[in-house]
Amino acid sequence: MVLLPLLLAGSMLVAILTLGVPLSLEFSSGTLIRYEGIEERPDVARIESSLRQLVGGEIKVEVTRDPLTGRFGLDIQTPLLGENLENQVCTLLSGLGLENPSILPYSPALGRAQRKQAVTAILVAALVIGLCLLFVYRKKVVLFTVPCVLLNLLAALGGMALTGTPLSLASLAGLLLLLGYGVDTNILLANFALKRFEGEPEERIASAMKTGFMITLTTFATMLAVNLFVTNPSLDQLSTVLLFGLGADLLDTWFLNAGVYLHFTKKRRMYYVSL
Amino acid sequence: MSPYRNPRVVLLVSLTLLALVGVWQPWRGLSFELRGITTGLDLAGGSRVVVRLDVTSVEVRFRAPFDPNFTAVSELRDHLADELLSDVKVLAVNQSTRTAKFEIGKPVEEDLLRRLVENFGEILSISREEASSSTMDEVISTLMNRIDPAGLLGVSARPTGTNLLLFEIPAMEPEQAKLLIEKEGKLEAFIENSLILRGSDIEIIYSVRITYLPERRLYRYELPLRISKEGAKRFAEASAGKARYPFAIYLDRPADALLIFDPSLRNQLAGEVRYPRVVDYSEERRQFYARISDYYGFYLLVSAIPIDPRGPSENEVALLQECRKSTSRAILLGDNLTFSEQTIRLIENIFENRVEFLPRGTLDISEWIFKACGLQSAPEISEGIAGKEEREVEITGTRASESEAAREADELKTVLSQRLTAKTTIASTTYIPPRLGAEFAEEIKRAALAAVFAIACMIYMRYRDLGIVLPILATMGCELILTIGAASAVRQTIGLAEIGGLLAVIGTGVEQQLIITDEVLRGEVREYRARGVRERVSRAFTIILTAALTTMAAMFMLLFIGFGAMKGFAIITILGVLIAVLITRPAYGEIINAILSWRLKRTGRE
Repeated sequence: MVLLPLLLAGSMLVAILTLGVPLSLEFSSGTLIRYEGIEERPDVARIESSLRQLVGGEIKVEVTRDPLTGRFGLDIQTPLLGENLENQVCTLLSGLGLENPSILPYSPALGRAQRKQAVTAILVAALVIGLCLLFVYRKKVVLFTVPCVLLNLLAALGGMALTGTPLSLASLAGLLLLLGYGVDTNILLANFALKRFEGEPEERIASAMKTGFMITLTTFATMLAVNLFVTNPSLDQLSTVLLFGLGADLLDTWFLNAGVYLHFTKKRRMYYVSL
Repeated sequence: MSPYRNPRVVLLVSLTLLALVGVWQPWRGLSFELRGITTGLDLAGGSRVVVRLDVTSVEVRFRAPFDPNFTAVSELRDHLADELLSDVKVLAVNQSTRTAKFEIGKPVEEDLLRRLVENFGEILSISREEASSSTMDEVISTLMNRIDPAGLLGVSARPTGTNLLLFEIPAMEPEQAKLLIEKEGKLEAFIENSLILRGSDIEIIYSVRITYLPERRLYRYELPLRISKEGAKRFAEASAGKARYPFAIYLDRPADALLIFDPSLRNQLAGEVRYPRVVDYSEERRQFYARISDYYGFYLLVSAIPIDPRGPSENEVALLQECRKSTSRAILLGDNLTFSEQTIRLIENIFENRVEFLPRGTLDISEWIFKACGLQSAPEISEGIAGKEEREVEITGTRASESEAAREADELKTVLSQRLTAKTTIASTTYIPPRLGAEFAEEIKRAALAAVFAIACMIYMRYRDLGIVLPILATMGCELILTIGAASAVRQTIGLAEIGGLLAVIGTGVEQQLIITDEVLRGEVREYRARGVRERVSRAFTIILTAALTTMAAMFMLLFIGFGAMKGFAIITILGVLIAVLITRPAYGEIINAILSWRLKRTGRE
């Protein structure tokens, strides 16, 4: 049983390494093409589809309005374009009646320093979570929760690589949510395995598993509803991350971590019996 | 005790009703709209502001080789900073070529720069199109603090091109954002023509005070400051024997600009009676003269010239060209109705398009000129403080309404405490319509209904008891309303990231109620039966509190790194967890306890 989550983690790692997790426009450098002083409201859908065919990747087209003149503008964010592709894009857009753009390369919304800070924050968060658990349960075995939760994140990242979901602020929010959900189910497991003494450890863990499956599946159902009914890319990304992550959480918590706790509680019982 | 009378349940219901009223705000209209919440850029639109950093990068080759401490580089940096009254940074130093690259936080003419550098070495290159990434980051962080000091609006910013910054600001009028961004926060205070205080002399900014002046029917704001010892010493020296003289305080004095006004404006100056007021214009000094009393006055230290608005004469054009040598931009007192197109075009040509308009609006003539010169206030030096090392200074201003006075004073406080290291100009301001319209709202409604239905079915299938399904769903609803209410109370904007946070709150809410329910129902198993229902609830709380503790730890980390939208996500989740632990979970524990105890009593099992 323990093999199943490890196999899943292995295959997700392969998916991440071979396919890679794409970066959204928020996390990568790109090109901003701006048009100003347009008389009539531009057709965003048409521009977007023409550009997608030419450039590919994530493209964000927005109509803006000058508050003084009331004229329209167009802000197009694309992945970083080379000079050649820039010219092709301008020719294509001039065919749609858009002339004289200003073309600006832009940096990621999260600068290098902020990204470093983000990674530090996630690592410190994992450490703080570990310390909280250690403080409450006073047993080193609870620290196994941290790698277990990180395996959930690995599965979510693997899911993103498989489905081409980019790493954006929304999917990052999903990953953090997953961290919270993953820790919750593991706390439930730790509470039943370490803090209670009624019945056999297998019975206690099975009892916790019933609740655990139920809570994960209700969240899974919520995310499935969001994924099916909402077409907005941000919420779609968030729910995709959670669907993969929660699926993995079932295996990681109730097969892998539960196996570790079972081993630990049995060993502890043998120790007390031998005393 | 009946759950209806239980204090925890009563607290939950009353707070939910309060939150509902706070979010609905029926006093502003009876139709059901969420008036109490500010929606984010995706849902309500906002403004996109492109800010240009007007910095000058200069590379200097020094005459003498550097000493180990690079003293010459520091000396030149300090020299430039003192002479130009601007921040100067050393970007790079190369010992082998004896060169150093400096970044000056404002545009500087080449001639002036050469004069300032000539004692140290020669200029190799000058660039005005490139700002260093450290300056861009500093300006982003300062402006983010100005626009969104509490980090609740969800403002996003990113460097664009070589010297531009792109800001997306939800829930703020483009004009207000523009005002906040444009101010440099450069404070200067003069006695006669001597500069006595600068922004760097400010040590503490105290709280704003607003008072009503019944005789003038105006509201006066006072912003008290504490200045440094050195500043106080300069003040004592300069103010000795100058009791009742004006102490002119400027904010962002446009020292690099030329004010251009319609000559007829001079005739209108005589019509005003209130002090302080502009009383005259000096042809010789090319400055306005203002008085604070019948006896004392001061020159406004910004160059100004009258130009015929219908078309400047040859002399006036020559004057403009002469003034252009010492100034880099023009501020026209009026708008494109005051000045003819031909005049504007001519001025634009001379000033290479660096022309701004300052329409009068509803201001008095004097107020208008003071605003153009950046004069913030000109209090009288009282006899008691003249010649003394006074460290407490006040900036004052008057406005027609209390809210206007409070807003201006708050903005002033923010700008003074968040001073920019580089001069900024607004390159463009545009309005962005909501990215997600009515269609998105429909999608969210459908998804929410589907999720609630799916959760309800699953809970029913697990417990086969509507008496459990309904309290869980009702508590979940209360928790959602309370979290939105709390977000509204702290003025958190609700955007996409915050909707993500609300989903998290719902998810963990249901999760924890299921843990409580399972724990309570375990009483029906033989081993657990010995324990009372209340004890079982408290066992469930051990799990819930540990989970809440870990979630809060992770979310505080996210709040700490705090970039834009993610901060909102963290705030919503923290609010949700706090509400859950303090209000909804205890109430749900009581409800489920009451339901189960009532059933057990009925069946006679306990």
